[in-house]
Amino acid sequence: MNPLELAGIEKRFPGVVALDGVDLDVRAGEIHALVGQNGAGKSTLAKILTGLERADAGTFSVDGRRVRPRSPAEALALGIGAIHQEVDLVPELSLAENLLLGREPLRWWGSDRRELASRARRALADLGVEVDVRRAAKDVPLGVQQQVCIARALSSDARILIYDEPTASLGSAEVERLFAQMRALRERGLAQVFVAHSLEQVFALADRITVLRDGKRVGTFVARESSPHAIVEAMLGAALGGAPERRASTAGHAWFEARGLARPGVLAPIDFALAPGEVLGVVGLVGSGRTELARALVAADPGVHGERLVDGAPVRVTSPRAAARVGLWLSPEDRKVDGLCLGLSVRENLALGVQRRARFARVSRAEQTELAERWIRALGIAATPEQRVGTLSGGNQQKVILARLLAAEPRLVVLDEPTRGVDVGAKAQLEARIAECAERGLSVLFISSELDEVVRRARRVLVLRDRRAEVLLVDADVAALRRAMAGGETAGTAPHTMVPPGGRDAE
Amino acid sequence: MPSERVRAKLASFAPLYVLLATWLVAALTTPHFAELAWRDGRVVGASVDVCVRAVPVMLAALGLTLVIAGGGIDLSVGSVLALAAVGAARASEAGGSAAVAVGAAVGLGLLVGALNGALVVALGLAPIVATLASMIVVRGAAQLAAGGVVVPIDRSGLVEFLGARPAGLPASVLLVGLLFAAFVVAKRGFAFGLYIEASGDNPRAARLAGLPVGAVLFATYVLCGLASALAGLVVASEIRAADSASAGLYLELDAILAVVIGGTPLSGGRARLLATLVGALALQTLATAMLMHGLAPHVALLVKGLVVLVAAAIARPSWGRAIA
Repeated sequence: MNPLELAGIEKRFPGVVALDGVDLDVRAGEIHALVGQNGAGKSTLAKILTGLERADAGTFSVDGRRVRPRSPAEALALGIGAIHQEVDLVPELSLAENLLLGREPLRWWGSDRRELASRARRALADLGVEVDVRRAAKDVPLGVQQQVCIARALSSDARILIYDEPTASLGSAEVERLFAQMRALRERGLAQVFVAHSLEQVFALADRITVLRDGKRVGTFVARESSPHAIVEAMLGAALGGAPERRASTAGHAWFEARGLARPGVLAPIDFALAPGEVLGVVGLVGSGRTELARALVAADPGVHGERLVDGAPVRVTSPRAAARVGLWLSPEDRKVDGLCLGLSVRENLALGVQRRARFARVSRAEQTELAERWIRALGIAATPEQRVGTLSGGNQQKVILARLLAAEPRLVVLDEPTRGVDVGAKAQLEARIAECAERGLSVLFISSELDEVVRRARRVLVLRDRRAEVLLVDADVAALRRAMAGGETAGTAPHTMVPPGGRDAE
Repeated sequence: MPSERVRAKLASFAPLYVLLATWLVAALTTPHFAELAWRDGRVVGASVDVCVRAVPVMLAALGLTLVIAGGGIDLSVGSVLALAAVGAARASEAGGSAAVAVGAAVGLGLLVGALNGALVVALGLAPIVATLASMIVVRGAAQLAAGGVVVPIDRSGLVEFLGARPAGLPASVLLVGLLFAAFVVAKRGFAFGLYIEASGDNPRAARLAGLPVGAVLFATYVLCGLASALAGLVVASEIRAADSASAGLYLELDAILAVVIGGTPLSGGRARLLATLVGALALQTLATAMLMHGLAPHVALLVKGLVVLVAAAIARPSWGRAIA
């Protein structure tokens, strides 16, 4: 008898069959990965497992007993703990309070703070985490917050843990730490379900892999006997050709130049230049200044120093609006918080991109709809023009942002983690679209933590470390980027001696 | 079960159901409520009375709809009404023509609106705090300008101007129509509507998308000030005086209710102008019907509160999705 067994699970939403007869069994001491494209149903399945949604049909058993949790609390009472992509701690409460929320040790005068702290410390020490449990949740890194979520589940005697894309917002060191922990918990006999996008991570961790496609289970594979290639084929339902390896050419002169771009206390002065059609990669660990550089370029935050030269002439950029005027657009890292108006429709979000050119004269409804339909086709967005953006999957939301940027006919786009939380199929589509635009002369600042993506797209890569430019590498491989990110020995060009695009490296 | 689209469509007419239901109940229970007649070149009847009496709330609520759609709130509409009324009365007292009186009121409304906008946009104050402060300050200013008395409007220029009945309908009702038309043109004909809704839905994303978010939100407060000032003109010309202490008292509450019944979410992101008017009319229909019944004021308050609750529940943009 397995700790977790699902059979024939069905879930319908208005107009969509999200899950169509899905079976899943998870054994004790197993890490079971759940993979599939956006919209394949893995998030819905995870929600059913954790009590956020209820199945319309099918059976759900824990240790052989039929259950039907109606809330996360009920799921936890059944021994099912959830670790979400967006950590669900109360930001203002301390780590200890969060860990024991609803189960605080009580005395007649209220909660016993000393006992609270010591219990929380013990629970975290059990996971090998050393942290001051009195600190507010909002003040500790995301990775630590996640550990608190795990400790909270374990301290409630959870025997089954559901991780819904737990690595989406973590740096690589934090990912390693999480994985080490998951392996340790596997040794203790816990059943763990791991919803993931990165096949690399899946194969590093999982014992078995269940692939979903269009709400159906394609199959369950034993990781040791399978390959990423086979899994991707199962996800896409089609044989894969060889991935196209194209590098943007770096012909032509730099039309854009940033000189001493900086934000005191946040980003040390950085120089770089871009030619038409060039893709400049930007890499670095979390906190290295990648996002800060992206935001500084379009003046998203106040107090940015330095000069931007467009076609040799300095331009004044004091707001994203001013940046847009000279053709600089940002696709921000956090698409829900900074990128999209989730309550508005796809059509309206796309109209924002072209509206700037029309100033206050309205782009007519018919034109907006036409625009939306054109971009939906061009990028393969799974949506109708009138659909609310908040109801789309992550990959489709990312495509809407990209469409909005491209519809604005930009000269330089800054893409901050454009493929984060996006499935394999959509990733390939996004990458291809970006490459196409570059070929037509669009310059791209490509920020990504997926190094193989960067290496594939960009000849020149700016490596950031500790909020400053570490080195500018040309035609580097993934290993060289890793070394540079970690601050090891590198044989690159000092970033201050600017390499003109199409200059030294093109000779 | 109807599809989600059909349900959404039906739900979007919720304010209309509330208005129709209120009117029907009133017509069935109140003698003469449904009657309309043509007398001395005017349409008369309880329904016309409802429209006329709803004018101040309709005007203020139109402005407020824009502010709320932009993610803000304006509590100063009642005080602006009073200040504009006193301004108009003072101007005509000093011998100004109707145009001067109108100009004074409108100018004051725009000024307070601009101040509210500056407090919210430039200083970054929470809209509820900023406009709560200006609600108090502006009421004080109105009383100061009135010198503690009710300022009568003797000279009839202004009164005649707004008391005119072109096409048998009161001018004040036509004024609502004009302001509504102007707002609809601004919203639909220009990008203003999209800008307000995007700024209200997610100001950070709107700013990164190159929208002039600050200017847009500032404009909503200015327009709200203008709308409230027009309401002040209407009130002043109706009672031929400006009572700085009681004019527009609690108007902000009725205006917010009208917006809410109209289904504009208080969290911003959607502007439903016509539905706001319908919401204001529903409130006034209820009030007039209870008055004609001779219901005691305290009973009337109870009934009004209950109807508002039911109406707001029906007009919710999404059913039972508050926590999800």
